[in-house]
Amino acid sequence: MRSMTWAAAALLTLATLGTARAVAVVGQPAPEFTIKDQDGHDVDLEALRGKIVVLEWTNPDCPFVRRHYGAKTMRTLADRFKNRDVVWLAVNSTNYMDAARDRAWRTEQGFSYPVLDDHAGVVGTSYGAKTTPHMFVIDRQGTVVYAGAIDDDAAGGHETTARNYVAEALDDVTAGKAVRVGETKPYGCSVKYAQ
Amino acid sequence: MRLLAALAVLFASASARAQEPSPVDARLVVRTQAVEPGKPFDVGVLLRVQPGWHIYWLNPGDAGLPTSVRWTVPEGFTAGALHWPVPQRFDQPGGVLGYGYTGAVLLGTTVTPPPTLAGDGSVAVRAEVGWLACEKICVRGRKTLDGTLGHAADGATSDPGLFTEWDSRIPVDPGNGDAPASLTARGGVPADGQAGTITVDVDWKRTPAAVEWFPPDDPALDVQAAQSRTDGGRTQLTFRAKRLSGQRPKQAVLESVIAYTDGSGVRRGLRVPINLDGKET
Repeated sequence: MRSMTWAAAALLTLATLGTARAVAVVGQPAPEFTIKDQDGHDVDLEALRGKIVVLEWTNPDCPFVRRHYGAKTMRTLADRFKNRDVVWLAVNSTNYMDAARDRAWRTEQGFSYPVLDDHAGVVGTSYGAKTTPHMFVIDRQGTVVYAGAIDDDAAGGHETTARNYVAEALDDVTAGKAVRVGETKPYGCSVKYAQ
Repeated sequence: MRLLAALAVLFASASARAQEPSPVDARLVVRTQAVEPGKPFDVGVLLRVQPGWHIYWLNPGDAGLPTSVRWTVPEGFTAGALHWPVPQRFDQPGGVLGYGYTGAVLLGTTVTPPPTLAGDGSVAVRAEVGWLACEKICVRGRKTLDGTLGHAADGATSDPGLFTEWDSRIPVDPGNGDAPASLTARGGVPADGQAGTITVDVDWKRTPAAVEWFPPDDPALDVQAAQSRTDGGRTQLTFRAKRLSGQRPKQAVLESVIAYTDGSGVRRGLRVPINLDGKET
């Protein structure tokens, strides 16, 4: 019995190690993190359990991000769902930026959701964030229910007819329905991780 | 003195705003300027990219934006699809893959005139070009290029040597007599969203070097874990793919490309069409 328990424990450890390199997968638990926002306050994903969380990978130097911020895409959506238990978090994994830059971006663009200072790239790597923007929606149970592009208009120019996948996912989750499109290919500049 | 200082600051800040880098130059080129009724002719956009920067292929990879050229030709003329030369692969930090071009690339197309030419035989051609150029940061660019061929040729440089040079970098059809290899593919991608595995065997007439596979861009298909192994005269390419969220891939046949270096050290390409539902291509 003792050797069987040891073998079972070894298998369990191996299984845990196998999944230790977390990447956000639709249908799986969202990778945990605790990281500081632009004002130095800790933001802990686990503490937000029970809310719907949107993670938006961002980079003020990226033309795709600038186009969306010019059109107020993210801000409008964040505002629309603010009173429906949705927490919007921007994440800046650009290696050459810092909290001061994030504060300046926030002031310049006039939005009120936090920008998480991930210039070390830890949260980006754990989610497998590839582009800016790259969007993730996490439900109240902490499960990833959407991963991918903000909409279907990578090149821009179709703002009025673009299909916003994050708006649809939030409509579905807040209505208690299954998310109709769970995964799309994200578009944007590559996340500027350190060399 | 204070006024001069203020003006200096004003000019400095204005030029700083205008200082967004402009690393791509685009110009219209043609194989020859002669146009004959019914006889197809080649036009193209030559893009030159500053060192350290790159622009993107038809499938940009994990990030980026495909370079685009929209052709406008006169009534009765038709412009075909762009001829995309064999791309390069960029491995960016964080495992972000890019496919595209450094240095220069000629994006050409074949234009077919009608059986009779109207007017004085001059043919106006317009190319609207768009790109995303990336280095440490990314910058979008666009340019409209106008040229005239035929009788009153103007605005488009005639350079047959340039076209010949770039002809050799267009991926060759495996069905052609002079194709460098033959292909067989097996496996498929299920309709239910589960991942499927596809294996392609490429049998080379002459063993090449530096074989690389480039997947096509299809927003509904997630291609992962591609591996290629070249042993003697055969490259075996294996990859997994799944349909995203119940979307139907836009094509039933995957138009992918294999890049290789031939015996003379020249980088060339082979079209690798793969049928997603496992049928023989």
